[in-house]
Amino acid sequence: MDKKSRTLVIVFIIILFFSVAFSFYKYIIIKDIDFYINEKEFYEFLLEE
Amino acid sequence: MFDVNVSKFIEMCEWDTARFLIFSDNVFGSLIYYSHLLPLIASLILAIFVFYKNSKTSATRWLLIVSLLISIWLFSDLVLWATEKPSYVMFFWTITIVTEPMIYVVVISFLYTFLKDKDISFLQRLVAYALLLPIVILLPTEFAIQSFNLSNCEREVIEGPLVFYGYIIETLFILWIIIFAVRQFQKGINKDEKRKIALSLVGVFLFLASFTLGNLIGSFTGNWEIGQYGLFGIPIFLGFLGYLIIRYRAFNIKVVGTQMLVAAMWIALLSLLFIRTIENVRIIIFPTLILLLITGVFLVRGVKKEVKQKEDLQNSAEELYGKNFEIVVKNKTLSLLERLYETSIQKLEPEQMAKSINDIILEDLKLEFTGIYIFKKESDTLIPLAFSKSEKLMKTLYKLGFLLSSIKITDVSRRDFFRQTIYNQTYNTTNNLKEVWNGLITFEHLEEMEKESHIKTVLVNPLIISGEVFGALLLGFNRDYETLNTFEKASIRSFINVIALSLDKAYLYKNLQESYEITKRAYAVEKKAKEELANLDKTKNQFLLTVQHHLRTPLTSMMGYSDLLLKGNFGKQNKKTTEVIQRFKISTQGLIKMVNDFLDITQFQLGKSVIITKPGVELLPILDEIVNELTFKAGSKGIYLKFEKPTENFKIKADREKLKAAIYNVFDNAVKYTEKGGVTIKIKNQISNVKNGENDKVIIGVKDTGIGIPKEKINNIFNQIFERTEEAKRVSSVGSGVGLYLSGQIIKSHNGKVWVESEGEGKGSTFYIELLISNV
Repeated sequence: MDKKSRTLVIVFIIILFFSVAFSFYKYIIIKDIDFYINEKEFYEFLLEE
Repeated sequence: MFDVNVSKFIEMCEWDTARFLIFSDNVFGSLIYYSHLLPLIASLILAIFVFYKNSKTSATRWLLIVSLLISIWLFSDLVLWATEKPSYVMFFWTITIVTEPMIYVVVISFLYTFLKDKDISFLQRLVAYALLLPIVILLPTEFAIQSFNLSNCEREVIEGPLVFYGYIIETLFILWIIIFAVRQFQKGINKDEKRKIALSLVGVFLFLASFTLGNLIGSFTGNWEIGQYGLFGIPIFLGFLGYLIIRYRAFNIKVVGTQMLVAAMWIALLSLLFIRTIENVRIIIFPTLILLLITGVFLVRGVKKEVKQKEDLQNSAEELYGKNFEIVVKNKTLSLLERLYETSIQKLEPEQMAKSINDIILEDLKLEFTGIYIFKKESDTLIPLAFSKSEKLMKTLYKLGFLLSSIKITDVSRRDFFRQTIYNQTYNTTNNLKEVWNGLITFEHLEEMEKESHIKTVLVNPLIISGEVFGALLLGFNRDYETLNTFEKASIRSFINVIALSLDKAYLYKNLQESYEITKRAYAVEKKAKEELANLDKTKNQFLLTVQHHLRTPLTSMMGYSDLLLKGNFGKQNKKTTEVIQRFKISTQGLIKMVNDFLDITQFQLGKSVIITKPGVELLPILDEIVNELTFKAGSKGIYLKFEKPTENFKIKADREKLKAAIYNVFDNAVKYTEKGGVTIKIKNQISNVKNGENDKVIIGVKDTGIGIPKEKINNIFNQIFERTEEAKRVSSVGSGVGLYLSGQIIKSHNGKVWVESEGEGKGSTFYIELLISNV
């Protein structure tokens, strides 16, 4: 692998690392989650089960 | 914590609490999910194993990365199905979103390196990563996952547009792979290579189809259960890739790979038995499982056998390679030795020879430099005789602005690196240039040279002749000395001896040439001196000849006039005058004889023949004449002269007058130097062996009781003009010392011999004259 390609891979991995880290922070640490609930659908589901 | 409303719905779903993230009752068909754990572990082990065995190839590196990504994806998928926590679902869902397209990119890299032996280009990589970048950057946003769907209890998320973008780029990657595959297949040189390409592509498509299709169905229909069956494509894919790597790259791990493949497939199929919802599948799967088990056993056995055969083959090939390598190195060494030998013949000057040797070694061993040094014991210094450098080193040195070739290595005994070589006669190596030139080149220069040049190791070898070190050979390698194999090291050792011998020969030649020049000059001087001497001698003889010739003429006239006076042609002389004239005549006769003797000697010395022999000359009359002439002289001295005459006569081939003169001289000499007693002459006939073609000889012996001859002069008496002894001068005032010399020359000219024996001074002498008898 040449020098330019290696730099590209390293830059990509750094961006990936920060992105995954931010997802971890958002979903696991601060639990910033939107919930979608269609109550009618939910109860129908429970009934089926 | 979530708000009360959300918590209420979550509670109503009655999800089981997951242990270690992945173990819970929430999963669909327990065994089928956990069966993915085994291929996951197997794929990881396989990839690590292949990587460990072939870590130098890029293909194995990419396979390991594919396996890691698949493992991350599989693990995340297991968490999604097992966990009861929405936060974990959200996070691990994003992980699957990002790893999925990345698997495609890595698979592309793997295919390039595996089939083409070349990684994707920078531009291709840039394109691939640019396509991935939106997913990576927007991963934590609503573009990836919009919300957690609580409308059912399936623990699903509502995916954002980024997921669909992901499917689009995955399709592009698949197209990329197809185009690449077709091109490679077209380029495939032989069947084997084409099969390799086809197998790789089948594996990749099986995997991508099964893997992507399940996810596509899940995303578009919301039914994620079907997608789980697609995951069986993963071990198949890894099995394929593992097989291919094993088949084409590393045979020794084939068994492990095949066993893993069979085990993974067997476990996967076994897990299908427990799927309650697909009852009919059991009827098909059960016999398939048995069949697979049996085929698996046979496959493993077959593969084991094949591997053993291939291992044997490989061992033989390695052995053959080793032998071939040995032969190649030996051939190379021989060729090098031959070139060195040719040089040693062509170049005779030590400097020229050393330069040629250096150039040959530098080129042949691809060295950075070679230097031949001569050791001067008295100054403890190694003096460079010749030094050759590689172009790279030449440029470096030019840049640094100094020369290595002219540097003398002083204080050898104080330098660890050289001391061992010169005084212990062993080779030495170093990776540190400072050990070689410390104190001779500035520290900064050495630092720069270490940095800029390609010299990794310096090797010094002693040049030994007759157990003495007369120099050293310095070699600069661009690799570690330890990386040279046994044969290469042996090769170096052998040519060092040749170099030592060649240089020794060159120095011998040089010394010889110098000696030859000196001898040549001395010879020329001597030749010239000889020529001058010869000229001088010739001139002298010519002069003597001329002078004597001119002397003899007046002397002869004087003799003639004396005779005429005595005969009374000028009137009757009185008694007194007659006596004076007689004395005058005798003196003149002596003088004429002397002049004649000198004349003859000169003729002999000039190489002119003065002897004209005739056969049938009787010897006894000659001897009678001489004895008669000397009898009066002996009587007047009061000594006897006895001639014991033989009964037979001898005829010889001779110049009568010259021979008589010669014999006369010998007899006269005996009479002259005898004061008491007398002289006895005897003749002896010596009969020789006729068969050998030799003639009979007559030996005349003249024994006197005279003054004798000193031993140190006895050998030269006939060979050179004799310097008379004091005793001789006392006994006889008359005598020039030339008589015997002349007698010797005349007798030799008659093929005769003359010699003398004497006990020493005062003990008398015996002269012998040997002449050949000629009966013709």
